[in-house]
Amino acid sequence: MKLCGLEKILGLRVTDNSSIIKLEDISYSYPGSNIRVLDHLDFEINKGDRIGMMAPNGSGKTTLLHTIMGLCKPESGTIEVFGKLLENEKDFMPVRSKIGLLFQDSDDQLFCPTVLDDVAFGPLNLGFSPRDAIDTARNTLERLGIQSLEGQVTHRLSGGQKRLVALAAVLAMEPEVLLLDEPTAGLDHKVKEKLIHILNSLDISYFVISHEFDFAKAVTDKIYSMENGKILTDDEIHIHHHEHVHKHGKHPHNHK
Amino acid sequence: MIEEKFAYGRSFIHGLDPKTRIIASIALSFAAALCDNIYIATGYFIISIILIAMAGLNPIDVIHRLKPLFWFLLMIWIILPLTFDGDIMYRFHWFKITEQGIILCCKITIKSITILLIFTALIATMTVASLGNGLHRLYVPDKMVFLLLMSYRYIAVIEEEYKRLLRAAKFRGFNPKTNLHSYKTFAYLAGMLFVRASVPGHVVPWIQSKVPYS
Repeated sequence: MKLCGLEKILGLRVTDNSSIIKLEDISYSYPGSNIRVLDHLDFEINKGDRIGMMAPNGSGKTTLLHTIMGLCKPESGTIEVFGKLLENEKDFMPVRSKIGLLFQDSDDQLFCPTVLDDVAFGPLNLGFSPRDAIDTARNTLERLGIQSLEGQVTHRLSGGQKRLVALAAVLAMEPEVLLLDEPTAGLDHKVKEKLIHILNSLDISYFVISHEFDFAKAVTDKIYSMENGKILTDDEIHIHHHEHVHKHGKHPHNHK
Repeated sequence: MIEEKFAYGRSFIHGLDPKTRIIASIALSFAAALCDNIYIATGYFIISIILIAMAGLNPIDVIHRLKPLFWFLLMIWIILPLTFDGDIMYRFHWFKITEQGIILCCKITIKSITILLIFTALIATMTVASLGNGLHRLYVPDKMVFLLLMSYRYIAVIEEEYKRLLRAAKFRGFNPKTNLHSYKTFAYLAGMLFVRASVPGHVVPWIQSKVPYS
């Protein structure tokens, strides 16, 4: 306990290896399809983990997140969240408010008329009084530096603003783990920098799906990939940035 | 996308011209609805069963389709025999069941199931596009046909959008209850549906991606 305090004072990331999300032997195919999007997949997020995921489109990254949230019911395997085995909708319901999922498309996430209403929506569901929910929402917006947006209409925001508001809506619920599905898709450099700063300042575990190497590298400690419905961890893959010079670079050439 | 489960098949009925099927279904349905004799209604019911068999539809899937009707009929069976005037068949304290009430319930049950079976066998066995084509060839005004086709597409879009927004709400711990917060949330969802439906840039490409153009 004392050690944790010291680590916090020194600004070190506290890593305690207790499991938050544990998927074992998960298989899933979409209805009417024979292709297994997830094929006997094992995956674990522990406390303090900052995991990135880079994999081609259609490899099952979003399906993996939806499986964790209980949206896709696996054909086999077990899902354990906070040490509790989740089997049906009833089991998933209380757990969802502790897992913050940032959708790939923020339009799918924001539905309240104003930014403040949207950010306060989660705390209200947690049982906060309307006044406390508004206070929490304002504090979260301030923390992310977007307090100026609070009175704005959500569907009129820009793509970057929507993404930040969606993140605020998720963080206002004080989740224990964050799942981010391509948070930088379609964002400009400035918003990406802001997102990197926000994520690095968080002291919760998170799992980020991204196609951008620089972003994934900046916000995570390890990067996984996915292939044939299975997760490839650090030991098997080494995703790295690669630049090289060609003698005849201006002529068309192939890489082998 | 609205499922067109029965639309694809190789039965004799699937091979019939949409125009013929539309005319036959309307004629048979009117005949079944207007007949007063329970024996004749039973005859139409048998015809509808034969049509379902000719279309080669899975009986369990057909029964699933009829589920909403069964709930309606259950209500009729609970209310009508107790409230319809006529010869009393059975009495228990204040409750009395009348013979005429039972006969009326039987007629409603047979006729409504018959009509739905006729439509399932003849109309549900074609795609909405074929239905639109059939109606056009029957000289139904183009605007009406277009309205039908667009409604069909938009209902699917709206359903998809609603499910997506409700999922977002549930992921943020929303558990509908009988309180102001829940009512407000559903109002927000409905409002956002209208907002999103009114933004053509968002909805139209989605529809286009679902409609096979050739």
